[in-house]
Amino acid sequence: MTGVLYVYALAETSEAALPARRGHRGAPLRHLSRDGVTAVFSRHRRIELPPEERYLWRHETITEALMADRAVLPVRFGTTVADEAALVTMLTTRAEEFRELLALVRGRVEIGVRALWTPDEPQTADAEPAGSGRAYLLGAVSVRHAGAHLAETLHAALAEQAVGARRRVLVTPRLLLSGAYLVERDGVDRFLAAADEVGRAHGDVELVCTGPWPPHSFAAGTPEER
Amino acid sequence: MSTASHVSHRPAAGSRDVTLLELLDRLVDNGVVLHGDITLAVADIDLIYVGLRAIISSVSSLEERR
Repeated sequence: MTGVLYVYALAETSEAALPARRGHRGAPLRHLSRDGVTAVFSRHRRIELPPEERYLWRHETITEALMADRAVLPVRFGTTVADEAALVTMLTTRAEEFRELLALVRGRVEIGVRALWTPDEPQTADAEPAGSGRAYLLGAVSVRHAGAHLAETLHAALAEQAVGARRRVLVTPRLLLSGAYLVERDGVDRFLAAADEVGRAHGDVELVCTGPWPPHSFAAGTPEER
Repeated sequence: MSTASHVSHRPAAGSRDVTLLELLDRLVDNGVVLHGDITLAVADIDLIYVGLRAIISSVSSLEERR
C-alpha cells in the first residue's frame, strides 16, 4: 500500500483508548506499539502541510489529548515516515532513548517564558564625532553583553524552580530570553508565582509565560542546559 | 490535556498572536526528530523564523544582528 504516515507523538504504551479525535484532513488516528512506546499517527496518500494555524493546532491538540492520561513526547510538526515497518524499526532501535525521555516528562508539563527588554541605544552621536562607526559597534557589543548576562541571570532563577530547563538568549535584540521549563503538573502555579517574583525583581524586563504545554522542548534528548 | 488553556500568564495586547507564535516555535523547532521525511522544507522554516523575529522585535528600533 502506498502512502505515508504522519506522526503526531510518541507516548508510553497505555491501556487507555486513543483520544476520540481525527487526524489531519479527517484521517483516523492509529497507533502502533513496540517495547513500551506507542507511536500515534494517521495514514495519508500524500501529505504536505504548510505551517498554518489549523494544522499546527490539530497536531497540538492531539498531543495534548494524549497527554491527559499518559506520558507523551511530541514529534516535530511535519514528520512523516514511509510505512509501519519504518515505524517499527524506529521504535525498536530507539526504545531506550524514548523510554528515558518519557520517564523524564511523566507527570510534568512545559512552561514557556519569554523575557523582553528594550536595549539601551549604544551611546554614540553625542559623545563621538559623526561617523564614528567603531564607537557605535563597541557600544552595541557592550549592550549585547549586558543583555546576555541578564538573560543568564533570569534563566538561572527560573531553572531553579524547574526539573528541566532550556533556553535561547537574544534571538532578537528585544527577545532577551526564550526559555522552556519542565515543571510538575501540580507545580505550575508555584512556578508562575516564582516567575512573577523574578519579573518584579527585574523591572526593566517584561516576562510573558505561556502554557502548560506538552514537553516539546524536552522531547529530543539534547543535553541539559542548566 | 484538559487543563491546557495556553492563556498567557500575563496577557499582553495581542496575546493570541503570542500564543500562536509560541506554538509555531515549539512545533517546528522542537519535538522528537524521527528518521523520516520532514514535510517542511528548511527554507520554509527559515521564512517562519524571519517572520517570527520580525513580529517579536517589531517594537525594536535596532536592526537585528545575528
